[in-house]
Amino acid sequence: MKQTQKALAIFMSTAMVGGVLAGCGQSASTAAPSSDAAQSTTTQQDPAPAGEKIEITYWDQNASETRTALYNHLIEGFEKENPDIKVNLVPIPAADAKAKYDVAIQSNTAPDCGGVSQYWMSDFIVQDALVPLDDYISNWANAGDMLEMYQQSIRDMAPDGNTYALAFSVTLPTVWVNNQLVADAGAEMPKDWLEVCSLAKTLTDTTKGQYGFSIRGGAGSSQQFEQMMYMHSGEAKMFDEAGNSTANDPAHVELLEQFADLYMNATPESDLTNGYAEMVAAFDSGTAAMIFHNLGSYGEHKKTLGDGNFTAITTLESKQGTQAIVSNGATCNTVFKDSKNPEAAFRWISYLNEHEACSYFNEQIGQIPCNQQALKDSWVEGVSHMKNAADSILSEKCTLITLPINVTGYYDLHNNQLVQGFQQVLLGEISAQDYLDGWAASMTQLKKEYDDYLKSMDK
Amino acid sequence: MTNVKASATGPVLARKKTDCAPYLLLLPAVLLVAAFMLYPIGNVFYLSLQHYNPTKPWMNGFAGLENFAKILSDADFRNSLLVSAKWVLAEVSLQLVFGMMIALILNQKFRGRGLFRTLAFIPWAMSGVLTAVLWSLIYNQNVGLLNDVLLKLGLIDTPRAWLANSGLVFGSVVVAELWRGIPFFAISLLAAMQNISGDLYEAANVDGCSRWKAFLYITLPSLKDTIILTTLLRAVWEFNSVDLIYSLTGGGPVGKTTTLSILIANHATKTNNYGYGSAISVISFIILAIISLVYLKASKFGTSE
Repeated sequence: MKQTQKALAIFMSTAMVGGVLAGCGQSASTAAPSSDAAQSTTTQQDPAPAGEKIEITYWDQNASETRTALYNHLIEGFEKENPDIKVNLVPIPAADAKAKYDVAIQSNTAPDCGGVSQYWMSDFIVQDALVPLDDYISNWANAGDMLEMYQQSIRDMAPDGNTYALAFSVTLPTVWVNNQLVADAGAEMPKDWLEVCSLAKTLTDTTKGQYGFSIRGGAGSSQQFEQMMYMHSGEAKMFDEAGNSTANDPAHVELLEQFADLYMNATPESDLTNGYAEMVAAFDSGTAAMIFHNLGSYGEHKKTLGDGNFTAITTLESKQGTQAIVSNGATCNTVFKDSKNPEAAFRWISYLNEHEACSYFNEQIGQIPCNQQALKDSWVEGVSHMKNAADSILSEKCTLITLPINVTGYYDLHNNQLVQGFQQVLLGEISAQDYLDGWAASMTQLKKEYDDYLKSMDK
Repeated sequence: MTNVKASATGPVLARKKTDCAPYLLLLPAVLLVAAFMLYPIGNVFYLSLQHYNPTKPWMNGFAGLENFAKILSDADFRNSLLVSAKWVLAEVSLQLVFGMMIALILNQKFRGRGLFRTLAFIPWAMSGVLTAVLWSLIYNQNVGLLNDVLLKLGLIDTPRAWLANSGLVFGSVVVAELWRGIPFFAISLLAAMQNISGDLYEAANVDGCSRWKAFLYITLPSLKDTIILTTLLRAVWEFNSVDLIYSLTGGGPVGKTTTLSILIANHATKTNNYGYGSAISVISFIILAIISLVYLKASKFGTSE
């Protein structure tokens, strides 16, 4: 009996320990089950015979009930206009979307088309996963309505200069300010980042549990700070002529030092691990007088603080006296090479990007449509911060600074390495200079690897 | 003669048929284990010897032992190994102690015992993510229950950021997992306690043995094998635990709750660095296998005193 028990124990512990490896093995195909589930609705087959419907699958990379309802409405309209095509919508939770696309691409089970963040695209292009859309675009009657500024930015992502996506919506980095708290303090709206930092201290009253600013210190922190620092410096080049990253520009160091000084003096302690939700909650509850996010959170502020009680500042003056929009790209629609029906897939994504659909969708989610006609619609004109943002985008005076999202590994660097260092700076464990030097060195290395790869492709 | 031969081969054939049956019955299970355990395990060993990152195809290829050499100089790996060791030790020992206390109480006869036994099991039935949501609300700096209670009791002056303060976060996550893990020990030990003969306690009572001595000399020795097995299983589970830590802190802040499992998950799913992530998995496997075997040997599991 005892021997049996012993054998059982050894067997069980071996099996459990084996789970460590099996678990990791599964992680290499981590999204496989879901991907398969998603795939169950896709159609990976030859074009349907005459009279039969072609089925295509579209992945929404930022699933929510609201978005699903909007897409279903648009699909209904599209299928009426295109009775030969059926669109299957697969909503994917935002946190898993990139990983699911990666796994689907590796297993040749990517959908026909889908929504993607522009800063993911270099990873997909390197894997030869996307269809060049230039020929389709040249035959598309309304292609001229697309925002050239963003389409050019998409072309810049590809070493071959092809267009691999259509920009669908964009959201501008924004400082959200609680009007009442600023008025109570008799202060004025900030005009540059140093004034934001100084105002944050003015608006802080810890005895009342009120803080001037809420920093995003957890997931997404370094990406958000990257937008702040280039807004502050006005530096338009991501790399100098020698190929070195400009991430450690002195103006960036200055701003990070200011922010590290704000932590716990003008912010809650819990900001160290703040994600998007916690940061927005701090602003909406009145705990924090200012946050830095983007226009996409407008709806939530309106719901809790009420319209007119907050201000969106989308342009701040840089150290160079300029005003720039710092962009990590647009939300795009793209067609995958695994598609057996790329033409039908393009018809769907181009429908999404046309005036009516693009305007309808972006109005509902509170983001800026990447369609020139949609930018002139009354709903854009009627909301002050949207109008300001649209004016900035359409203005020739305002420059677009695009972050180095075309360099493969950019997203991974932010996602897995830079967040911890950012927290260490806030805690005073490392200096702002050391952190940004490390960041610049990593970006420079990634750029060099990427350039070497491109050279090897040319040979 | 022919009849004799026929009668001699008949039972042999019958026995051969019978001999195959168990293997055929086991075959589906063996195939499933091979597909879902052996193949992934083999694949992890294979990947650990490769540079494999689908988003950096120019770097892919045979790596030999490079990934393992990199681990030796990886400060994140050393940090996460230390965090894992602290995590497993804290969780298993505390869960055992509190589980034992609850099991001893639930082993007594009192009114409503069935209800309390059911209630004690509830945390074990909850998912890690749900537990994480519950505890993140409790620990919230601004609206959390814990700060509210401690402030009202006058034990703290200002609200604490339990999950953001690098000095508090590890203990906070330990408590959340403790809450979920205690029932496993409580139920396992309670089941084992019910197999201890009442005669032993009666005899000890007649001899004037105190409750403490009865626990020390009757209960504990009788529970030895259960304690060894449950602590071993729990240690392996806790070592591999991801859900609660990932949902509560994501391994942060500044790596204070990054266990090896979280580190592996980050490398494999966030950076697509499957080669390096697999190498860390292989090292974890070896560490766990050695500890398990040494533990079973040292504790003389399955042998009588």
